[in-house]
Amino acid sequence: MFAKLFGALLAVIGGLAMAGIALQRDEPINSLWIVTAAVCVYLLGYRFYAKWIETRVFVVDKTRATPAERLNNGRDFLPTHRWVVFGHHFAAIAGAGPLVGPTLAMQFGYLPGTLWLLVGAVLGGCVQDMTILFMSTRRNGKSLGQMARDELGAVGGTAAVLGTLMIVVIIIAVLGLVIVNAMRHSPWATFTVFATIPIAIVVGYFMRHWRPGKVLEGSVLGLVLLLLAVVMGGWLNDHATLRQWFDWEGVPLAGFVIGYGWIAAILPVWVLLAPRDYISTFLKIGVVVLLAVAIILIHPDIKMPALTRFATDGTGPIFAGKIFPFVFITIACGALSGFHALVSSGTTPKMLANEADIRLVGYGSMAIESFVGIMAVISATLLDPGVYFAINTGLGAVGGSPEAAVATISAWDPRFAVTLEQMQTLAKEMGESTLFARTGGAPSLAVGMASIFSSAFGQGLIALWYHFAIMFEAIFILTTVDAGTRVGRFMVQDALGQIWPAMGRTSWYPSVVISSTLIVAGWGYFLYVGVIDPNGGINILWPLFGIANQMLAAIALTVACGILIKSGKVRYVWVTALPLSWIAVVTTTAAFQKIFSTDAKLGFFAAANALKDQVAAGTLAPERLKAAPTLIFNQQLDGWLTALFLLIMWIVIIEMLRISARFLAGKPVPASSEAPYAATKLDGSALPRSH
Amino acid sequence: MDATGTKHVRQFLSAGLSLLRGVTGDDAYEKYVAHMTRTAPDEAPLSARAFYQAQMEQKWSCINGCC
Repeated sequence: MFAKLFGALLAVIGGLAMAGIALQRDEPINSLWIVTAAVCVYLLGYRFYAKWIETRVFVVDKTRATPAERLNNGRDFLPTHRWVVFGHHFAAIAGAGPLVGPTLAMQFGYLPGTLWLLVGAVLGGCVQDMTILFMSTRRNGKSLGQMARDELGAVGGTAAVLGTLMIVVIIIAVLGLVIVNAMRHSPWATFTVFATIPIAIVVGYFMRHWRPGKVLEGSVLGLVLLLLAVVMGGWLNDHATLRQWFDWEGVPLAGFVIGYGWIAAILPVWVLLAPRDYISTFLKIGVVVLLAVAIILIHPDIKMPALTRFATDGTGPIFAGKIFPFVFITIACGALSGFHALVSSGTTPKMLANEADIRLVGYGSMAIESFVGIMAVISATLLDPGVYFAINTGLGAVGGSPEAAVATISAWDPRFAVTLEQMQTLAKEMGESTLFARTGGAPSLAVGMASIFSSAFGQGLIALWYHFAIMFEAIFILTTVDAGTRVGRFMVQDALGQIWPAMGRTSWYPSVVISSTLIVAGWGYFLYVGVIDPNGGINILWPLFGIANQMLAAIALTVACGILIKSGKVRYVWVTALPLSWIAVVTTTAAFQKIFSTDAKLGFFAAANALKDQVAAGTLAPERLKAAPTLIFNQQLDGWLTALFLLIMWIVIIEMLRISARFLAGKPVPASSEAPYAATKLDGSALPRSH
Repeated sequence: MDATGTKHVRQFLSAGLSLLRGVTGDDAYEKYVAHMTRTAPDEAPLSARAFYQAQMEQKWSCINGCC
């Protein structure tokens, strides 16, 4: 009775908040409407939809021993308290993705991105994460690739692994570009990011030699040193000589990130990778809580219109294409992210003490990540829209100079008015020489976060908050760079080991060096091209990343559909088939537009051809002429990669349909890989069976 | 604040700290030693340093984080 009343109350409040958002069109709306609607939607989804999936579709069994209990080794397989698993899983799935994607998607206005974050999470992303977590838990914590191979056969399995390797390469490149764009000609940001390296080494040494395994002490030490580095960066920025040492162009900064990634991947993990990840986890949880508190305290007005002209005319300056399909491609993390399926079938299922915790950990963590996306929406849209566009648009797309940029942006819409003085004042406030064309979402998010934090916790410190926010984003991104390179290295070693067994030995030094170099060369190439691209590079790489990530989501949901059908639950298969159909349509449409569009802003091949024409006509400036062959090749490569992503996705879907049809017709199919039932012996869980 | 109030605050803080230790992995070695004492009392468990190193190698040999 109480539950029903609570649900009804949530539905009424959520409905009112949604109505408030939908009706307040021509005046600024307050962010509290969005926060309220979001919280109600998540609670409704968690309380009712996830509960229904748990009891009817999965038929979660509280008496069944989990892999953590059966295979307990005191290390990775270890029954763990549900809230600890929740925190651990959340820290693993949430990084820079849910901050960057929603920020970029605000070029369409605040409404489309917000709605997709809510609906996509509740019906798509949370369901995917929870389902894969459940299925992996029932299969001794197997990975997505292994489940695909076991349940759908070798073709589906190989396609899933290949897709994963490619998305890792694209993710590192695009996030590397985000951080290079934040550091370009910013001595303060560059110093802070550089300082994270010696700090991580000190903390790594502390955790290994001085106080082995004292992670909390090490993290606190690291955090204090990082804050000190942010403050020192400010002093350095005011020093005429010292600031020049850290005032770098994009290309050398890209070289730094590439060299860093290569070294971090081959060094022992305790030196650099592990300590920085510990500090990053600590910082991540702290900042998410702090930002939520500050947003509720300040509840700023949203200045971005609900919908901009770019939603329907497809000429957006940050990335090309209309609202359908590109809002669903741009916002992956926060709504539906295929990469989460890798985490949900990685360390998390080995920690669950009871199947009854799956709803909290799988569905709940993703709902919180979606809320992080909502906070990014608020941080981006509280800026004057003109400022938002001036920061996020590459100069090449708006006339080539700051003067031309403000004139072009102000001419798009009277609500986007922005002046040079306004941008200069803002840059000065943030301790930067310029904020123009800092593409990639991180700097505009940092400006938004800085204004929220400084209004909530101290007005005079806005430049410090800005650089704190940049450091916060940089630290996750560098963790993705080295952890991703390392994972990619293992995948390459595994693949090469099939041909030449010595290469498969993960600790054989020549193999380590060769495979790390291959991976770094892969993402380093995309990063370099992004840096030399006059349009900022993000406009090309982010859609490619989105398509890759949604392809992986489609693969995960396909595996889930296949397993549901083979478990005799065909009448419930719509739970995963619904998000699968949507994301397959979205990904296919986006890929077709990126491949076949004749608009040079949208289509990869069209862009390559347009640039070829410009070269032939001799209309390019000498500098752009030099970069043209690389850019032409890159656009063509991106077009072929998109085609490959599409092919991989459809191979896996068709394999699943074929196997499911055979199963339903009573023909032999690969046997279910579910581990047999064993009763739990854990204290407190000797509960009556739920069915 | 009366005695019960102080007790509640202390309980709340200690629950928070234990959650934080769990999430960050600060208590991993204690859990491992407890597991070894229970399941293999005759075997000497790894030292804190050796355990930390082994734990790191294993944790970072698979995908354990997203973007």
